[in-house]
Amino acid sequence: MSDNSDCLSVTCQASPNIALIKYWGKRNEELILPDNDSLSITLDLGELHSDTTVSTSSSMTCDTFYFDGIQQTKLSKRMQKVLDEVRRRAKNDQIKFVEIRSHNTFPASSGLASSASAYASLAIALTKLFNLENPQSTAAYLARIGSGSAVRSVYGGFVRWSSEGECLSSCIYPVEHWPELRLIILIFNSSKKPVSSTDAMQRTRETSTLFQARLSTVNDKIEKLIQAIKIKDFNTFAKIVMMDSSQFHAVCMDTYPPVIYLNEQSKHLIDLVHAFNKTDENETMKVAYTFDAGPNPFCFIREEHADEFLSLLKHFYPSNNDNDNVHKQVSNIDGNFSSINLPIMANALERIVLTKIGSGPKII
Amino acid sequence: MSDNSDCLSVTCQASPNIALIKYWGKRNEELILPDNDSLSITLDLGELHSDTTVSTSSSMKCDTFYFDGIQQTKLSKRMQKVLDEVRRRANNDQIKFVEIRSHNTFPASSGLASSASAYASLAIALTKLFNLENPQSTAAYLARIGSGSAVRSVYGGFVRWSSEGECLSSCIYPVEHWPELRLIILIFNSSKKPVSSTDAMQRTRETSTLFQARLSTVNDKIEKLIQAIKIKDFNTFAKIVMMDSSQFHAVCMDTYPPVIYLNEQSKHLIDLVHAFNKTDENEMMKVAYTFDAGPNPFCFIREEHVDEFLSLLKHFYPSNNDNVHKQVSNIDGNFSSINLPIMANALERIVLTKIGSGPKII
Repeated sequence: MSDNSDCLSVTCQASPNIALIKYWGKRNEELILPDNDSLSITLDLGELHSDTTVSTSSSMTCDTFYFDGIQQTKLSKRMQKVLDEVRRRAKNDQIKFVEIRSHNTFPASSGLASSASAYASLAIALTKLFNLENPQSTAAYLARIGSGSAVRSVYGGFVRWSSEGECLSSCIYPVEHWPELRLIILIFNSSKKPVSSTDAMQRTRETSTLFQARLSTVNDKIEKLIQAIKIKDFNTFAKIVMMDSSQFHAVCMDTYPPVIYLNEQSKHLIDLVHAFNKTDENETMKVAYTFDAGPNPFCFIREEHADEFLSLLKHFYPSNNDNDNVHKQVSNIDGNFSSINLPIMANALERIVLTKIGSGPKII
Repeated sequence: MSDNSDCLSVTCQASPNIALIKYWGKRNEELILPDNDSLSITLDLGELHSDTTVSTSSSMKCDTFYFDGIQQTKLSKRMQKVLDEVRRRANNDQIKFVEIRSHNTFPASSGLASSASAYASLAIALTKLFNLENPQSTAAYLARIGSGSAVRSVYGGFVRWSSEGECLSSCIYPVEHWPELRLIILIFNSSKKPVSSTDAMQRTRETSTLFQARLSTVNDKIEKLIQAIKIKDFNTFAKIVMMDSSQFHAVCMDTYPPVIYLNEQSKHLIDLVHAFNKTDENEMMKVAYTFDAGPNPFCFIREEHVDEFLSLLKHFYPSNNDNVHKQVSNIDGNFSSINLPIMANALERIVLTKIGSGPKII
């Protein structure tokens, strides 16, 4: 950072969000306008956040970008696009160059896409640094043109990204609405090189014969899901979330060539959750899963069932690691899992992240 | 078999069929009437066939069923249903009991469902034994109520199973139509307990939001596929077959709870075929895959490309067991442009076969 008296600096922290109803398909590539509404939960800043510091001073002679402290040769196209829009809105006669420093507290291998939290934090930081008007919708717009679903990470709680009108996001229910809800992220050890979702979703749009049918189900699904969230009906919430996840992966499979994100470990967890839910005598759902464009599951659960589920995970995904960091949070509840007829997958699980809904980005 | 002067016996051999456009969903469980038309290729009898011998004699006191020479405690519900229908049509005052002996030359682990070939051979043998009228459509009907897609195995060549009217099968093009076409079946070593497809397809019907959309695409797809087969347009054939396979697995994924038949090895083969097809400078397709309710791929290819594809398979699925790739002619293919991992010892067996001429009474 330049040591200059006119140096301004803003730092923003934002978290990833987990889609309950997925975004998959753009009707406009340039502005990233989605084909359908999507709904998500913004994670608690907790362990998982992107931190972006943007600074400007008159001594800067060009834009620079540092990732994890290392200067990058150039800004990505999307980042450039965001900056261009910022300058267009700033209407200053003088160009202010910026230094962008970004860092994610979670690694790329964690199964969590970092672009949503990274672009949300960048968008908010730039909006503040340049003192742009209508800061909330401006930051949302900038996040969206930077990385689509980043638009959902500019708010906390339950967030909806509209596919019509201005195509911005809004908070449907704040973090305080459903305090018992928890998220458990399972990071399997399967090493997979990431596939560009931009290309894949375009191919789905162009080749999938089932894609339009998916689109026609979304609005009704979202209304029902919002209603379930409103009254905290976990059973309905769980069923809609799991079904949307499957439908998303179905249209990916129906793409030419097929796009397959799930693997054996994903399938095993799916079977495990359905079997575990069945063990409840009242058929009350305890856990729901969803999968994004990767094999790691994001599980939703209420606090009262977390211990039991963690014991289940320890039973079916034992780790030979002596320190047993993987299952360190298990309270050693003896669950009766003998009715679940599934194989045990030893050493499949690398990490379990327990987290909750977050209140949204923070300027620090 | 009883040693009796009035003993009659018929033996029929039938092969499995590989669906090009899949059957998935019944609009009538009792009669096994499908939700959509389907199209398949009946395999050559070759190494893969079910043999069923049905015999009757006045000394028999009940129906018996032997599988692989071992008497079974009772007949399955479906087999009983087939027999009941046979007797209904036979119109005899006297009940003739039967002894059924069945054997598959391919193991259950080969990835090939045996019920189609087994019920086709049973249906044809019973039709002949009881001398039923309209033997072709009768055998098709019996095969269908026994095991759905078995109706397609009563003919050779390219076979269509209609979802309307009598819901029977017919041969669209005979085996001689496309003599260069070959099938390569890959049997991976993944051990998976089989999932009942009857239950799974019912769940798809009940829960999949995409199922109706699939149904609405089938007729058009079949017409285009039949046209491609007619003019032997492999490119179009390949694309339609691969897309129907994916769409079928998509509606399975869209089922609640999800039904997932493919695994890592299946995915790897899918990527491999697409990459291999891309290596052709004229963008001519060389290979097409399709997957049924299991992880093993059925590949379609023309004879001229077989050696190259087998070399590709040897390169990407090397085996410590020399038998797996015994048919490779050691063509050195240039596969360096294909950026996929090598899966050692993943492949248990490769079956090379071709289109067949249909069941045989022997």
